[in-house]
Amino acid sequence: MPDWLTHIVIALVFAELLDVKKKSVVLVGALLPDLLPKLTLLELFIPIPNWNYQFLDAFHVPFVLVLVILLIAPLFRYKYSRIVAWLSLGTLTHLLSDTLLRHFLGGISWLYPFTTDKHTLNWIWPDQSYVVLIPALLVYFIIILMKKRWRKNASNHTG
Amino acid sequence: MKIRLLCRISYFLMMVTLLVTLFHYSLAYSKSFSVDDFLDDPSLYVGEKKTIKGVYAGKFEQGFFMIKNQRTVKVHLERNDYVNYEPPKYGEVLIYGTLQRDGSIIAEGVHNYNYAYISIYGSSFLAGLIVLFYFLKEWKITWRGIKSA
Repeated sequence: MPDWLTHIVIALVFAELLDVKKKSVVLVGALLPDLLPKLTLLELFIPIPNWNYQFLDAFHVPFVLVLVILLIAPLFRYKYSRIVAWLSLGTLTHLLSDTLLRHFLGGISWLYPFTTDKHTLNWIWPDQSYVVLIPALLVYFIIILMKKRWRKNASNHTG
Repeated sequence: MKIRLLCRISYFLMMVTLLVTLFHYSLAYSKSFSVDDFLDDPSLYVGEKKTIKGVYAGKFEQGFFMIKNQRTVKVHLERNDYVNYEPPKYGEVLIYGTLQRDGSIIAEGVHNYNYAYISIYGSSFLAGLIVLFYFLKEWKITWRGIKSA
């Protein structure tokens, strides 16, 4: 999805399902692939220099993102493996949901550096991401409600 | 001590790998396309098929104009398309087409990102704020790194 709201709701669903302790790290992971490539959107407001911006698009490639995650994880004073796992989870949800998108040309370079081919399922246009956002929101709220109920039941049994 | 040194070497090697990969990626797509290059010298790109997203800027008899990076591109549509074409509402237009010698494009596919300014950009801004809020609630940024709040 191009919109970050859909990305973070999908990431939250997985963070809740896997009971992630620091959900914000998963959310950061879910936005990570878009942080640098979307800088070119500045052209909507100001003319940007005519350079080759392909290196920014590289930050939307799984292989590059693995390296980025491994490099930024030490910034957190927390268990390295957990930060890497949570950032990777968020990034994976982002890339998987972007694979649903429809393009005239484009997609995700899942197999880079072995091939520069881009892959996509061509299902929905980026402006139709509500098709995913609404069900994802419903699933998220159902998970929250079920978790609350389980916790209540568990406290009743122990108490 | 040895483990710390090993960690530093691994970190350095990952940095080098990232830089090499970024360089390779730029080379792999060295024929990257920009509307500025195309408008500066359209003859270099004649016949190439490209996709461009830009802002709708009014129509002419057989198509419409779009603005990309503050420059105007002329887009020709097929007869049936330009008769029925409706401009995008609160959003941009995406075209796929063949580049022409006169700096125009003959579109084979057109998609309107209707309401994208709200559904994509507006909601993304909101989502960015939510993530920032969530992050600052769970973490504390210090000179020695990001610590659990």
